[in-house]
Amino acid sequence: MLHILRHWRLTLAVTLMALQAGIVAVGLFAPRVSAGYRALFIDKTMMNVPYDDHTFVWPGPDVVPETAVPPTGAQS
Amino acid sequence: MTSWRNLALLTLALVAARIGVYALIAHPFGGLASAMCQYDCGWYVRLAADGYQSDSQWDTLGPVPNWAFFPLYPILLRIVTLLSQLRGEAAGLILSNLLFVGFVLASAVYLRRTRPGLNLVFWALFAVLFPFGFTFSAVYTEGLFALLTIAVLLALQDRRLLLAGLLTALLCATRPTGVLMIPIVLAHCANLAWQARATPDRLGVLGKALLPLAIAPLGLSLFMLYQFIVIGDAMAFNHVQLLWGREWVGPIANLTRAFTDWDWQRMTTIHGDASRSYAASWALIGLLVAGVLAWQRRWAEAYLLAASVLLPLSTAMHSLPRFVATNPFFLFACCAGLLHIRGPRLRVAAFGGIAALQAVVLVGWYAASNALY
Repeated sequence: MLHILRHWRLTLAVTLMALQAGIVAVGLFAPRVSAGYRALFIDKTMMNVPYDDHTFVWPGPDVVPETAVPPTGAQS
Repeated sequence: MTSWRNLALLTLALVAARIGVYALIAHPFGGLASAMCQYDCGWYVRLAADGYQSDSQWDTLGPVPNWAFFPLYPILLRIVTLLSQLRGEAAGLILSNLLFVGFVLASAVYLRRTRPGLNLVFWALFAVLFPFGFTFSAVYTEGLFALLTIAVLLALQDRRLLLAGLLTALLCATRPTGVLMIPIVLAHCANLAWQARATPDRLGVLGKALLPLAIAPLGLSLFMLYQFIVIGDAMAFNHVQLLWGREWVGPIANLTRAFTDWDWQRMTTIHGDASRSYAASWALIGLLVAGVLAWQRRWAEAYLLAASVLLPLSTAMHSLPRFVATNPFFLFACCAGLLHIRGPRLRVAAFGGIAALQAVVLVGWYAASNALY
């Protein structure tokens, strides 16, 4: 315990790195998303399906159109 | 020698005068705040007001997710909006211009160290007048990103690694390309550990070297954690880029496609799609300048400029002119190049020329044309 306190920078660094590695691992390998979200954004199998044929629910009440058309403006 | 106080006052005066000119030009376009608020501005303003969710104000497209936009600038905009009680568009103008002044002054410190022969008054003038300079005044992340980039490099030069790590964390919370700074921090941390390898307290040295490196990606990691909790997808910021037509293709394939298209004629249309050949030319210019910086052995600058071009170039062409033209190291190289012009009359003509170009590009921005950006 004293050892950990004495080297608090190292302990904190290793803890932060482990936590961030966990976040990245979960982000890459274990998303908890709907089938529609997965099909459109992760597997990209629904990109060319017309909007009328494919809608899905975002977190919350909104329904988002499936579209590859960019909204107004460019992402920065 | 220019005193820092005088330089700060000069920069403030130049930026204030510039906003005055912008306001005059904006008169026929509905006023300054409204005319300046183009493209991504709307996203940032609504993010600052409502936070992350799907944005229901894109009435022709339906609600669209806004998770592609990183949180630091909207958080600052929210704070300025609350403090000033102004509308988001106006508060954003104040915020962006303050960040721009900070960037010009931080760059002056950096340039004094890295390019001692460069006249800092010329630098301030150039920063205010260069053609894409107005984007630093718009409700965009350019000023914040450029300021943080220079601040990290200054902290690293001063061997304040922990501060550099914290600033890199903020950079990572500003734009996806913030992570490009992490290898620079890593190199400095590795250098510290290597230099102190003979000291008896190895674990202490290792802690000092690793902690900044562990802190540096925190801005992105926390954003990912937030997205995982709210959406269920920690990579949502990346996945929803699809809605902006950004998908991994690779830089060479994108460049080849853009030049094969040879669609310069698109530049003659005001509201049509931007020319891919034009954007690709900007990418090549950016890479060329990065090559010049590498030739000058400015390795960190060359890497940061080249990587900032290659990463977005790998996914899409749009916004590349802005990404290149507002990159701090591209600006430093252009400013240094401009000062090679001999003779005061020629220099005045050059500065007049770039100011006139900025006016033209600004009018295009006010007219919501995306031909040039």
